[in-house]
Amino acid sequence: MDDVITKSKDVSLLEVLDRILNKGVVISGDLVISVADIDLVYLGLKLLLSSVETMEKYRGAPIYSPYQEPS
Amino acid sequence: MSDDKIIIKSESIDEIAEELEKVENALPNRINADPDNVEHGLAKLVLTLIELIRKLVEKQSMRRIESDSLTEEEIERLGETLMKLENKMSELKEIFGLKDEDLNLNLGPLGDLM
Amino acid sequence: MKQYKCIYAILDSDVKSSDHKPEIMGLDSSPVYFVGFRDISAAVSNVNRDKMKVSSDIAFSYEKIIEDLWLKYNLLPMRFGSVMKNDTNVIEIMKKNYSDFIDNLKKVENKSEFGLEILCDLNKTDFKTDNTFNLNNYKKLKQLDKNSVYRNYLIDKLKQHKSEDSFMKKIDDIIEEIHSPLKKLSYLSNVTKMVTLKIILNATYLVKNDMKDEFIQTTQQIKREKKDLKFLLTGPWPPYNFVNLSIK
Repeated sequence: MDDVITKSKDVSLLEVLDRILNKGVVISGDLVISVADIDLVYLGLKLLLSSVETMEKYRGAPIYSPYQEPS
Repeated sequence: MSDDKIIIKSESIDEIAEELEKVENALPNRINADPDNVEHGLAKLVLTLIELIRKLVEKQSMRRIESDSLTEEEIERLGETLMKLENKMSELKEIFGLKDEDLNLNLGPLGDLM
Repeated sequence: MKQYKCIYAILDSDVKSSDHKPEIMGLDSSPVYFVGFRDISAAVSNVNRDKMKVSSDIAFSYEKIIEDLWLKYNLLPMRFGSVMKNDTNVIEIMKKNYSDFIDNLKKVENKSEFGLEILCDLNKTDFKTDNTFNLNNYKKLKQLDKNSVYRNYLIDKLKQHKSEDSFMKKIDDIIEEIHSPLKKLSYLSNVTKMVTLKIILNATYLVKNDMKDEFIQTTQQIKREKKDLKFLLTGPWPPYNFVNLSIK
């Protein structure tokens, strides 16, 4: 019984983390305070990460087709 | 308290949690990015991108072979290139101690799914 | 330690802190207050910078604050870590992005987000695909020297890819059967296929509040029909996945 509760919490945590860390409105620029030095690396990688995500999103569509699967 | 967000869940929900964690860990993010991990995270990111591209190239090559637009020599050269690319990739993965699961590219019974 | 302003959400009314009793407690034991600009406002609280570290407690707390606000107001949730120096900067953000905020607030008004993940256990699922590979269809490949290691490598690769293609087609059909009825019930949706080998679908749906029950029941019905698949439906969430705003 405890196992199920712990595991359920993990799923909830993953769902919450995905939303609050990867989604929602993003502010960038001079006005926002970096919360850690590592954020500089993170922001630089964001472009790379988005292109990987985009490629992943279209993974289902045939490569040779000019038509991309709509989201 | 956040469990009340779960409306429907099948049994073995821990499997989903494991799969979701793999996705989270595939690319570096703020949770895992401390100075000691950054290099490893970067290696993972770079190799994930390279592997993605390699698989795209492989897929495209298969299309070319199927479309019958290549000569025999071209097909053989293509085979040589692809094989060498794949071997090189295996080498790199070994050097950085990364497995396919680490690159978020699960190789199940049907192989990769690019 | 210097205090900064953590923004939790943009609300679609000019909320006065005095309107909002009892207070909602922010992340760092300071109450959430509101900074207004025209007819919108930002929900903000004072935080010490080192409080903005991710842990499961903080993650759940952050989400709870947004949920509590969402009970009362239509809002756009902010990504974790939206920290500003002072209230003036907060106002400047609202001023610079006012029309984007207004457009998005209108889009998500009276709607909730649902997340759906579908998992497929390949060992259990019967995915009999048409696996007949005929080398005769590839004459030039066939004609290469039979001892050529490259020829055999390519034949293996072709077999593999054809197998994957028919598998993917099967998955596509299944996804269409699941997504199509849910898409009809939603205002907007995002779909990602084959996130991993096992997670065949990861979708988010923005559903009008008066359609929530029907949406949930339809998902339950689909789950009953697709006995081989595992479902995870979560929600209703504030519209995290439908406020794709990147602002300065």
